[in-house]
Amino acid sequence: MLRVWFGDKDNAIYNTSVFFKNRYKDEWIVDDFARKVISDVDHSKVVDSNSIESPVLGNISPLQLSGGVKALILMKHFPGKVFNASNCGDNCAKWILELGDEQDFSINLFHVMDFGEGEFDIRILNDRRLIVHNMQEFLTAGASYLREGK
Amino acid sequence: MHGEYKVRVKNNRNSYIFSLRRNITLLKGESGRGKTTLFDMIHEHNRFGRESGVSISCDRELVAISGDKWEEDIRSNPGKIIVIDEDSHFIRSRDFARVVRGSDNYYLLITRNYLSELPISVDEIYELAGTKNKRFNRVYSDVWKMYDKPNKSSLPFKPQIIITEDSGSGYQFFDLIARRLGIRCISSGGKSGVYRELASHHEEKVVVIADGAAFGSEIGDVVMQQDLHPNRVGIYLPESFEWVILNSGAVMLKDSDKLTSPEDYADSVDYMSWEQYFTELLIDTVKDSKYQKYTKDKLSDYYSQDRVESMIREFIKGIDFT
Repeated sequence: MLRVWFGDKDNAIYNTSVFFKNRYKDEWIVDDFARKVISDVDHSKVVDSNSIESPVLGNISPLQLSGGVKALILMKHFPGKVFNASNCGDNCAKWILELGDEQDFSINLFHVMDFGEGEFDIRILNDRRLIVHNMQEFLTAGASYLREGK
Repeated sequence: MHGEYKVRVKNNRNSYIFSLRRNITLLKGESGRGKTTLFDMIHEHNRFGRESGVSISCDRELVAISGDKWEEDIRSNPGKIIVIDEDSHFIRSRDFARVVRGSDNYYLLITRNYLSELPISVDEIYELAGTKNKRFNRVYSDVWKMYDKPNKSSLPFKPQIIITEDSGSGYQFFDLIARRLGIRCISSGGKSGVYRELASHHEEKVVVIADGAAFGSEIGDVVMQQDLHPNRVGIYLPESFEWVILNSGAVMLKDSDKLTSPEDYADSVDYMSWEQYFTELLIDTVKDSKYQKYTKDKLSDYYSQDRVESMIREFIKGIDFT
């Protein structure tokens, strides 16, 4: 299940791009998940583990992927770590939900991400008992914890 | 620093054109649209100048800032446009807000974070549009200062409840109107209380009235609530209540340029936001009048008399106060 912590959290990784640069592995870039998110979010095509074809930037290295895509790849491969998902735009939200269906992992948010109109299950870690199921519940929780810490 | 600055940042693959007209501008939006590329191009130009292959055209220098020495870097670059990317944790801090206050700089902040410490204008929040040739598009748009992207046929919006961010003169004015209409006016006691108050009245038709000049941190969540409750939430965000009074004709302004081109007068050293600028402009405009004297805390009788109230009410075209 996807778990969300609103606001600052000890040991969370805020600068996901730097962490990605130092820890990503070649094989992650060519797996199905990375290929799909790179295509959907960055509108780019994986050529091989060191080369991605971007319609605007030409051939780029994985280090030039968007901050959102880097964070998504990290979430998949380090489910035990908490990454800052406010580096991800709303076009990453469906991929975060999809990862949450496959594995337990936590993200850190400093804004209320738009997870769309559907139903979902997200545990709010600021109050471990709270599980939200739609955007109204998620917005109510996020707006409260971001402003008042409660 | 004041004025409007047109900026063009260009290399072989990307071109960005945008204008900055207040001390703080926010750039957010979807991933993969080129926000960090803009930051990187400015950073490379800072390091290598023309040899970077990046060309920048602007009347003021742009400086990309990151890392632990951010405060020193900002303080040593007065009169320049400071650009900060989303990986910089410090923009959420009180220390950063303290540095922005009174600094002789404009700031372009690339972030989606909730920034409660900064008075960001709802009109200076942008996202990137375009592929190779990129421009800034406003995220939130208005009709008669009613947000967000309202259908003109749905206006004027007729509320059952008014929520004001203000608890002083602005609240007192709208409370007066609400009492006459037999509806409720509630003060949220500040901008950060607006969402909570709005969410607790989701069964009724509510209009939120807040200072657009400083409501940027809140507008995202309030608009999300509006989207979840179609036709139930009106959002009226004039620059400030004082801006409404100045525009309504209720007081005579000597120099109308100060109202229509605030970017030429509202210097970042003196005003953290245009809300402060318009308050001072109104206070200064009526300072010699015994009856029109204005304070933020208490509405003087002049502004509540029928004729004046009617002038102000008629200026607010997006809300049905009948």
